[in-house]
Amino acid sequence: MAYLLNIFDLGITFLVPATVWTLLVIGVFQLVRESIPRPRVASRQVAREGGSR
Amino acid sequence: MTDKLSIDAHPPLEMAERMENVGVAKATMDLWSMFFLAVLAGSFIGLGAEFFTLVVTDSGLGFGMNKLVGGLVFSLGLILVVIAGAELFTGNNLIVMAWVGGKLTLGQVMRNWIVVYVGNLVGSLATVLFMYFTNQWAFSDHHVGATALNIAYAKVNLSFSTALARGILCNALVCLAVWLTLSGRSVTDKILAILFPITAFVASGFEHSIANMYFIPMGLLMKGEPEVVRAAGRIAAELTNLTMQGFLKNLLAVTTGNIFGGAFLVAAVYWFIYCRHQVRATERASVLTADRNEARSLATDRAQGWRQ
Repeated sequence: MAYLLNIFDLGITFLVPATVWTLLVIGVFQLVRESIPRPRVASRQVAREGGSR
Repeated sequence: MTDKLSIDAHPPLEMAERMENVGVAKATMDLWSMFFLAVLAGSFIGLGAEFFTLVVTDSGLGFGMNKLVGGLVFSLGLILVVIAGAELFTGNNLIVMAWVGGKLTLGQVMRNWIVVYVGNLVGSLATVLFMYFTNQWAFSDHHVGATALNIAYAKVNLSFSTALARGILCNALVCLAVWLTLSGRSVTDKILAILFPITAFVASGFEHSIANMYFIPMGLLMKGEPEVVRAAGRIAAELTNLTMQGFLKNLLAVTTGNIFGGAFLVAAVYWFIYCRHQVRATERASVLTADRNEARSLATDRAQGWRQ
């Protein structure tokens, strides 16, 4: 019983923070990626090149 | 028409749909509205915590009854948040439902959580400052301040796993309270839905990250008042853990637990039970529509080919 409780304690102490912090890190990464404005120069260039043809 | 006249509570399936829509509205709100609503929520929870501190001081009740009454009065915080409207980090862990349902990106969820967490901290700290200057802590021969000091002392001395486990259970109950309010149609319904889960978490001594943003800084201020330390029956050497570092350590463990309890144990579980079939149905419908469109365009192409 004590052995099972120790495993459960380890699970709570390591798995829960690992799961939550991984979610947070991925979320922050995605937030940063979403907040970087997409370059429009390239699309304008393509449009210009398309128009010149 | 019949829906408008109904007095029945919303069924869980409808609650799940409403939660997804509420999640989308919350996460896509403009930054400043989100921030100031979060500041309000921080101060509302601070007011609930202050009310709790006052009521449990020298109440003359036994252990269980004292906890019960304390829990009931603490519910003021979430009642204000839900009825008056504010953005509370712990309740907003339910937004995960909209993310899992594909209605939001994880980045949008994170934007909401970060802004709301910071706003809640600002609101809680502002309430701490106001309460300090009211001198309310000197009531009952400094025993109100002594209660605040003892609460903070107990919180900063929790081990990581204890704070984490208490944080998980706390936010499971807070999110269940918010979840239950989605079933209600009137203010009375919503208040009744909030009362018992919140009373249960406070009476059980569970840990709420935003409430701790009031309790621990208040204890830090009380530590500097010799009459309060004396009334609490403590000596300065005992209070070595009651520091800014102790506050941050508690917040780290409790916030982690709160996110797990709210986002995983309530939001994700209810999404899995009620919403996963809807996503499949939507996917199936979109695949069918795409197939139909493809078939139509193929038929048109063939017709044009024959004509040529």
